[in-house]
Amino acid sequence: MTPWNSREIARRLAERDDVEPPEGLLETIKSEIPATLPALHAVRESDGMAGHGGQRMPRRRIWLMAASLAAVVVGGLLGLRMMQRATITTARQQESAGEAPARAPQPAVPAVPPPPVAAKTAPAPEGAGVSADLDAARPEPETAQQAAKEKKAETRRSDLKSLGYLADRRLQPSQVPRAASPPPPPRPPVPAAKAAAAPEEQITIMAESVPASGVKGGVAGGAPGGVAGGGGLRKDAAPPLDERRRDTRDPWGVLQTTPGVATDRINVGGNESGQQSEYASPAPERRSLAAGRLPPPGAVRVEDFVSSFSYGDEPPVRDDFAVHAEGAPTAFATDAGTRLLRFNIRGREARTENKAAETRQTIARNAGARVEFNPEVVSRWRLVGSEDRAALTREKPGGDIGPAGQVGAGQSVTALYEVHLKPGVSGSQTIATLHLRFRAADGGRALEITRDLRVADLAPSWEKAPPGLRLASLAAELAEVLKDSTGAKSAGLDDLLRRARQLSAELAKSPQAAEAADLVRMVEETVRLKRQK
Amino acid sequence: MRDREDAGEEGRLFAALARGDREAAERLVERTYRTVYGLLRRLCGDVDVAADLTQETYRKAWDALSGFDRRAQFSTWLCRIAYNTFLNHLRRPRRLVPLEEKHTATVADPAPAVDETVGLVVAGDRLRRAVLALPEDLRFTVTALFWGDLPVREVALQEGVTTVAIRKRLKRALAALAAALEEDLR
Repeated sequence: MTPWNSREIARRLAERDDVEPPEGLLETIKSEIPATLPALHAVRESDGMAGHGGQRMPRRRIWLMAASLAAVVVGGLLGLRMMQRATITTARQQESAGEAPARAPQPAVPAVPPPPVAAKTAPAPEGAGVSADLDAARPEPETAQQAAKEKKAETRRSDLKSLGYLADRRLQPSQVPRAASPPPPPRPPVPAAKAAAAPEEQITIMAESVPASGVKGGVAGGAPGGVAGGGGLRKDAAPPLDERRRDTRDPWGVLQTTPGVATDRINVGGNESGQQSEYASPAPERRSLAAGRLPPPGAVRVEDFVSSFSYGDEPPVRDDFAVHAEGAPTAFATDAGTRLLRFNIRGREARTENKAAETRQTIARNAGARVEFNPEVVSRWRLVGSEDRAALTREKPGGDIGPAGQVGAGQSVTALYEVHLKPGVSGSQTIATLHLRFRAADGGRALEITRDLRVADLAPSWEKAPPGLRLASLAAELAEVLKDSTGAKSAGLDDLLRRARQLSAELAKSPQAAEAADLVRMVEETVRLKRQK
Repeated sequence: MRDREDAGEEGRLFAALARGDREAAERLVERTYRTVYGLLRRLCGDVDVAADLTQETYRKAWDALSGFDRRAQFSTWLCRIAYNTFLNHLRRPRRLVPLEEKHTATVADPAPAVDETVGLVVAGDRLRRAVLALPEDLRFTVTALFWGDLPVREVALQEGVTTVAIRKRLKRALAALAAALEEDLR
């Protein structure tokens, strides 16, 4: 049985197996270096890096060191003085009592300042002699590169050895003389209990809450490359408005409502499908504005306009999809209970330098998404920007997602929802759960990804909302203005412009800076063109 | 342990990077990516996941470059990002569950999902599992010193404590690891 002690653990931790990084990793990382690196303050080479060379020690530390030194010196002097005085006093007392000086205490020993702390905390490296022998027997490195590597490894070993736990990493247990290995240290009582329970404790950070047993609600519909829902749903199937308001089970009941009716706010638009970021072609609305003309109101598609922006959603690292969810109070709502939620599903990016080929690569088939709203928390909701969609899809009875679309690598789907929260909800309650079901393109098993959005996950105000959510909200708002939405007019273009400029200023140094600036330009252009009319 | 020459070269490269020199950025990547990859591979125990997380680490680093305060070395800062990236990778709130049992028996599984990755981490060697189970401050100390190849001084700077505190942390961490592993053997 392996004796687990600190030295043995340190030795094992320091072991190297020198596994080379996968081929192509370096090139991939290099290719992802941004073309324009963010502006940094001027750095002199001499102080480019702290901690080495001409490092300036933090002022606080200098003061601490000075104070410690002063305390040691003063304490030592005082101690010496007191000991001398005590000796003299005792001698005088003994003399006056007629006792022999031989019974006096030991002669005064000059007070010695306490040893440095480091001496206590850094015990002498075990097996130092053995280490020296091994050093002498070590073969000379063959090349300069090896020598440098060996030197680096050696300095690292020295550092670890200086910690007092690592004798020499080249020492195998069998090589270490038995006499040199210390008995296992007594097991500390508290860490033992802690460590035994720790693995489970750490696993809990990965755990999630049980999804809300809420009603099945919205459907993220499909478009080329998007996540698709399925099954046709006819508008005439919608129940009367009052019934729709009471029943969130029927997505269409809310989806087909006119802006401002069900949620008492303007329509903010949104999208559920399509591509995003650099792979998407510019929306026609953006092209029109760039050309100095307003797009025809009837031709404006809110969802496409919104999806033409990049919101900075990170692609998945390992899995086929990354799922993002966020929410905040909306900037344009008049109702205090109204919140805007943004869900994003992004497909994995293929590792290839050819982005055109990358987008064509299908990573998942039969993909469908569904959002469930918790009826204990949400009284009303709607998928924004979907009011005029001709081919809305919905789930089949039983919760299955219907006919599906394909999802290409790197593609992204965003859905904006407007919800009305019931009063008195608590932070731990789930507002909505996004379900994404798919089958890997290479015929893997069907999988489901779920993502809960809780009340506590919401930003406290629109100003503190994540930039992606604010950008999407403003883009949707602009699309509604371009569409001549009745609700949008009431919000006022000036307010929209002010908020867009504010967001653009905040995002000046972020990856979304260009998108935010573009949005401001489009709003300004819209203001100008609308006033000309 | 990095010597002064090493740190000086890194400082020169970073100064060039700050002036917008892309080549300097590439040189910095060349100097650091093995360490970052090694750290992540030791943490997650999977070469593919480590490669993906390494890429993600650099992406985050470029995005956050303007926020780098240069108290520590660039490579130290990078290791901290890598470490946080790994923790975020574990914490990503999602579940992957098979929907149709009949397929699970006959069709090969696609790329390992997060929970499976977590499973790998948990089922990996006992020492790594024990390190991952340490309290945050001890876990970072062990990870940075042994797997990130960072000097004690750099770890102390990164954590905002003294080198003595780092040594004490290490002592506590090794004791806790020993206790946990002893417990495992019973």
